[in-house]
Amino acid sequence: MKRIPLYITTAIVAGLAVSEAAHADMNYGVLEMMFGEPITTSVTGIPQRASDVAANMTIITQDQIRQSGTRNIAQIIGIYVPGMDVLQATTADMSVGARGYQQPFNPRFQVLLDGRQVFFDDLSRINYNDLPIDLDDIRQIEVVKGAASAMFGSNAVSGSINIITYSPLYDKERSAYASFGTQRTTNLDATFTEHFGDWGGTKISAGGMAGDEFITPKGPGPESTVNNNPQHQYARSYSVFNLSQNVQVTLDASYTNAKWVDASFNFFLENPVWTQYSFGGSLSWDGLWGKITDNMYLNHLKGIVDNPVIHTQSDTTDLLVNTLTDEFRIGSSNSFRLLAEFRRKELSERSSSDALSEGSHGYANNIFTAGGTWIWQITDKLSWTNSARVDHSIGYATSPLDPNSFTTDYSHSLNAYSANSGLVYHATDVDTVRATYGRGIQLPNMLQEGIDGAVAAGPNTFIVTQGTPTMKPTVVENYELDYERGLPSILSTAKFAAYYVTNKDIMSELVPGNQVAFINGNTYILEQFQNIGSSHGVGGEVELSGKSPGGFRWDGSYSYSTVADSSTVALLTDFNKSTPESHWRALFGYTTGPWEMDVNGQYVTASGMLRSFDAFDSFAKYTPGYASIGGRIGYSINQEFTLALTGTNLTRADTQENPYQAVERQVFVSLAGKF
Amino acid sequence: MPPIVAHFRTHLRQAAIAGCAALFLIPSVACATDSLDISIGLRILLLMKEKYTGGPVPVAVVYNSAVPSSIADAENIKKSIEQGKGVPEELKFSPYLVSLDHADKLSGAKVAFLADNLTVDGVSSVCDTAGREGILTISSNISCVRANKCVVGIISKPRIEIYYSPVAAEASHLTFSSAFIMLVKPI
Repeated sequence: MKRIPLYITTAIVAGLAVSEAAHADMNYGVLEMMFGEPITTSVTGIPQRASDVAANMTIITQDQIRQSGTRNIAQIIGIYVPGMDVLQATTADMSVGARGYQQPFNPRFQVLLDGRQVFFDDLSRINYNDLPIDLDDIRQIEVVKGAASAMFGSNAVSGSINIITYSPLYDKERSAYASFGTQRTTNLDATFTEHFGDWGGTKISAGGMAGDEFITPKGPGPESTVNNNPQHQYARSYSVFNLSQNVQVTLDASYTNAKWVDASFNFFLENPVWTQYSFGGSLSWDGLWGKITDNMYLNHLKGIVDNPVIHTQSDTTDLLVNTLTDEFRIGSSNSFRLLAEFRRKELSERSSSDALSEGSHGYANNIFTAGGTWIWQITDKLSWTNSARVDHSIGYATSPLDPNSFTTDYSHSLNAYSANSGLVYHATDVDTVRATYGRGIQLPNMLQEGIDGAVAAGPNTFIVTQGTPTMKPTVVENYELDYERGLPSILSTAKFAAYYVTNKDIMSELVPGNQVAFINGNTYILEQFQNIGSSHGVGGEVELSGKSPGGFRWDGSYSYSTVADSSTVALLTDFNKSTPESHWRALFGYTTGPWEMDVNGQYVTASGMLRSFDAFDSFAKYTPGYASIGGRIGYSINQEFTLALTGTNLTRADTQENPYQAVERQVFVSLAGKF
Repeated sequence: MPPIVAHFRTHLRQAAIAGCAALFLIPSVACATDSLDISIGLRILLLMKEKYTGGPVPVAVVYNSAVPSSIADAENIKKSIEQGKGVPEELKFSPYLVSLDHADKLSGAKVAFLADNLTVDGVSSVCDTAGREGILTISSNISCVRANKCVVGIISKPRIEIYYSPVAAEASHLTFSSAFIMLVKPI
């Protein structure tokens, strides 16, 4: 396939859909101990027991994070959640996909950290290696599979990931972690929490990592020069204060700085450097009208991307979000949550050094949202959950357009509708059935809507890249039936899931358009993002997990996915090939005295993915199936300190998991302290 | 087996089933309080808006002095709290026994656990006193909550369920965090 993907990278933080998925005032630890299971707000925004949610959800606990043997959240999710595939393109670059539809910069998951969006809206992606989090400070990671836009807004079409850290008010997390290992990799993290009586608490986390990039081959030609050794630094402060019995305030500020080699949206490897800040807070009042919360934050991101083909570019993005919610109960059977939200995204991009017209281009997007959730407890055993949301998006250029622009006006608006509905039936004490439907929305990202620039592609030939204001959002509909059965005789739980998903109006990356202009002896070719067709998938998962009082734990699963694309989708993204048909997982662990031992393994069948090595060619490259094994052996020296040996991809020196760099074996020695 | 014996045994079994079913309908129920109930009940204090800051929390354990199983259950509750079984680390507790006949001894308590074999009628005066004193009343007998006498009822098997009487809570001037209210079953 011949393509001329003009790369206009940007880096940005922006967002579409945070709905305060974490409750700052919720004492997760006490509630979990009371109800004997994790408590979550990920599915409806309303606190619910994990067994009651109308969604396919997996909650990864702090114990599991520790036992995983890795310090990367994407890998942890891949280890513990059936049906999740991790695309590890380099040492630090990872994308998470669910039930197929895998691609670099996977845009189909919304990710939140304590209610703040950490999803980047420039190209719709998540930098899992650049989050301001100490992994030892995470209480739980809540992974929802299936369209969840009614709760989280755009891009939660394959699901959502909510990272909940320990509360500065109710928990007293004080920890430190250091590890050293292969690829000269060092990780350092620390968290310190201080309480101010019962009325408040503050938590500060800081840390980072540094190491060498894998030495396995990258691409031929200019791509082989891409070699950012990965590093990442972060700091975060998070505080919660009770101003009175009914009024609570939170304050959240974070900073991160990182560089690494990543696989970009158009299948290149490149050298990005990102710096981001965030500031936010919430005010909640728990009174006569229910719990009313106003949550506001600002994400600011500045990025510089050094790409061997497109050269250096820099971009800045700001995201301002203000969400107002009210949750309340009417009678004993009905719970409600109402939502109104405003968000503004603003992008400022600097053209590349060889651009036809250097300078800044700006684009902004205002989104007004209304939505609501209703949980109806029909009987003790049966509940029905419904959510709906409408987003009204207005986009426009904030600077003069490039003189070579084909599109003369970026002003546009669109309405997007999301919905979720689910029945949960606790048929017996050990049997639960869920039937769910989700309609998710993936809005065009900021470059897809608002990019504007031109670069030289040859003698007297220029490629003009422009956003497509008329582009429709991708609509994803997910139909699912889940069955869960407790098996007390073998101390286990069995889970079965079957789903059918449809995707309409899939959005492409940059592709040559059919408009050409001839001006003063020069040729100008338009390159745009487009709606390219539809796709549907079908599959399911089977899982058996459990633990014994004697210290043993186990978890095994099989996932099946298959995807069928329409012809243009198959040509330009090829989700059919990027979806591994089968994925087997197995985990086994044992704790005895001061020792904690865990091993995890997986086998993934063959897949294929588009790959670019220069500005002119991309082609499908196939990878045979692969197996990998990781694990951890931990020894508690005393009540405070634990020494551990951990590793990933242990069976081989390197494993070709995808068309990018082969993933090398990694082994670490760590010392962790809890104080 | 002679038909008459089989017939008799069938009736006996039906009577037993009916009797067991009736136990759930009659307000006086034998519901021995286990340590999980106690652990859950004491944690509710951490979810109340009114924070207790006056040293060890006085916990009254109310029993029926006329029923040996009630006395035994109350002593078991008191012993469990004293031994710290499942007790939240954030608080210290000072449990003491209170007979149904001495409701005045509830004064000063912050929590009242109702032990086994108390009828709704029997605990009425105790719950009224608790309401006036702002005491959180907790029972394993849900009928007490249904009668709006107890504030909270706890069933820990087969699935943990917490029942809550907004009427009794309001009478006692007790308020809880919104997360707790969303997770329990109001009656």
